[in-house]
Amino acid sequence: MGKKLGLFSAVSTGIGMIIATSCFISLASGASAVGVPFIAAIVIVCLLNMMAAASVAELNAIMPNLTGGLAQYMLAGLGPLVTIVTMTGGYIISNIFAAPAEGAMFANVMCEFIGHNIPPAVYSVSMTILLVLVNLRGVNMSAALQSVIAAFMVISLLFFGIAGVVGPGDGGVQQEAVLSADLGDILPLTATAFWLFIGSEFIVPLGKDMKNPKRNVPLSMFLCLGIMCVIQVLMVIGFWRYTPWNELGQADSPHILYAVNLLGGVGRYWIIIVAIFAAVSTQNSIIGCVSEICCGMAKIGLLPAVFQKKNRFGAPYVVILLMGGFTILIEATGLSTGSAVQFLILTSSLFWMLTYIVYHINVIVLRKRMRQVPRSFKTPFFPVLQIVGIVGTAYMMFHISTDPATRIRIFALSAVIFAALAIYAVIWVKCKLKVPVLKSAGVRQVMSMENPMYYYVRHNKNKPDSEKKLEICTKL
Amino acid sequence: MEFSRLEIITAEEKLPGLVECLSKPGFMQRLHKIGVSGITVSKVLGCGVQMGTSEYEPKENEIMQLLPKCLVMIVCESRMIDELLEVIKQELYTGHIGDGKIFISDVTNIVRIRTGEEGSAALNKSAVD
Repeated sequence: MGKKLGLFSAVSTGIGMIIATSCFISLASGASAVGVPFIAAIVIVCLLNMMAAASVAELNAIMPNLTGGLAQYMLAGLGPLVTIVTMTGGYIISNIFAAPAEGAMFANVMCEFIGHNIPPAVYSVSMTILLVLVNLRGVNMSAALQSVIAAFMVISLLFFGIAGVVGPGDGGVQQEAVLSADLGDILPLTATAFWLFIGSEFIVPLGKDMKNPKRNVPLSMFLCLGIMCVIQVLMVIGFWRYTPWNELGQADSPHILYAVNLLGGVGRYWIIIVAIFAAVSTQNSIIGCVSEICCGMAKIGLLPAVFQKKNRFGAPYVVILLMGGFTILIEATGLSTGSAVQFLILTSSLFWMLTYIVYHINVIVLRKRMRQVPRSFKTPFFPVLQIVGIVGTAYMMFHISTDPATRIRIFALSAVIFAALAIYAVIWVKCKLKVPVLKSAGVRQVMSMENPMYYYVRHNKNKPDSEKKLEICTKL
Repeated sequence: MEFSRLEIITAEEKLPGLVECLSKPGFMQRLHKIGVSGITVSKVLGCGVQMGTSEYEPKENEIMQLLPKCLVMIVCESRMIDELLEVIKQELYTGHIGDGKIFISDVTNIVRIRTGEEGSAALNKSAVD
């Protein structure tokens, strides 16, 4: 492994995962519904997600530097059934659809930038192939790329936000700042705002490659959530001053509309470049971090062992290639551009919320079970933040869509996915792992699973001890 | 004044991190203020309840396998012990077998042989220099 990642690279990865082109649509949708008061929903969700980040940081402090930390925390606290269902649903399935969606948005922006002579799928597939190759080269290269992209995006979006707030406001837009101040209208929009802040926990799997991870893992999660909150708040104020609410709500590319109103032609091309970077950055983070999580899950026996195979650069190439393959397949069929994918993304965000709730429960369980374990990070005011986080996130789950019919469809689909995952989990745990489905593994067992030799010695039981020890020494 | 001795047994590779953590400017100043003026490190061999078994092995060793460890000794005023313990525990904790143990015992007196100073005077820079 080469150079260790610093705080900047860690924050970049978090921001790269949080900023997605679909975020602009969520932001515009919420802002056009209630106006500037959408800021309240943004701040509430930012705080709720900081609570989730705090819980993840505490779990990371109990079990530091694990390859697929997120899955391993759950296995240690809540057992294999909960781990497989929440991790597979919340991260793997949701991201299998999020990655091609970002690819499709990249393709649309490229078409607007270059022209419609080339089919959109060519752009998205090319981007995915490039990112798969980058990720196959190992984490440091992708993190370096991420840092450059994230720095440009943050500076640009901060500029667009600040310019929208302090600019002359001569875009000819005269409109009410507040469309609704009713809490009954604002609070349900927290579910819309949730999409603006997901993904900071993807920093955790990078902990083993980080400088001073005890400090930098929690700090970078809070920093990227805070930075994103500032950007989103500034953008909402900018929307109010430069973009009519009704046009904002109906636009397919609200970010381009805002940038054109703010800076004219320059703004258009600038925001197109930002949108391209956002799409590239998000898909890069998804491929890189999901592959790390899958690798970690395979290590602890929750997925087939083939997922933990690594190439000479230390990249889990099987998962990277599979993720890339799925993404390219969906991009090539054009499915990712349809409204069905948007619906699936909303459904996936429901699983993501469930995952955050499970993190909070996990912290409560492990605080009780392992009270004396030294933690380099402890959530303050325990268990207040966990309880508030659970209640707040549950509220967002029940208001996943403001349209009742869509909400019921999402709940129904989620129930089907949940049931399918639960059946897979029960079969896998009973037949393959041969352990009780709800029994937690314990921290010691989870930590020992981290060692590659753990599997070697168990899969070579028939070899004599002397031969096994010799082979172990050779491998180590 | 009461003194305590901390004997920390841990893996050799953790020693640089521990020394770096104890050497942080703010922390070192506080240590100096209450009389911690140094540490003593020895390379030792030993094993704990796992008899030297590696974490990944399914069966525990039947015969003790002594592994290279380091023994770090720190003497400080007893009132500092809780803060010092917390910092050391957090630094050495990884969750894996082999993080080590900390033994705490009372020290009745300290004597600096060169000057004959005793107690906290023997821990701090000598007044006669």
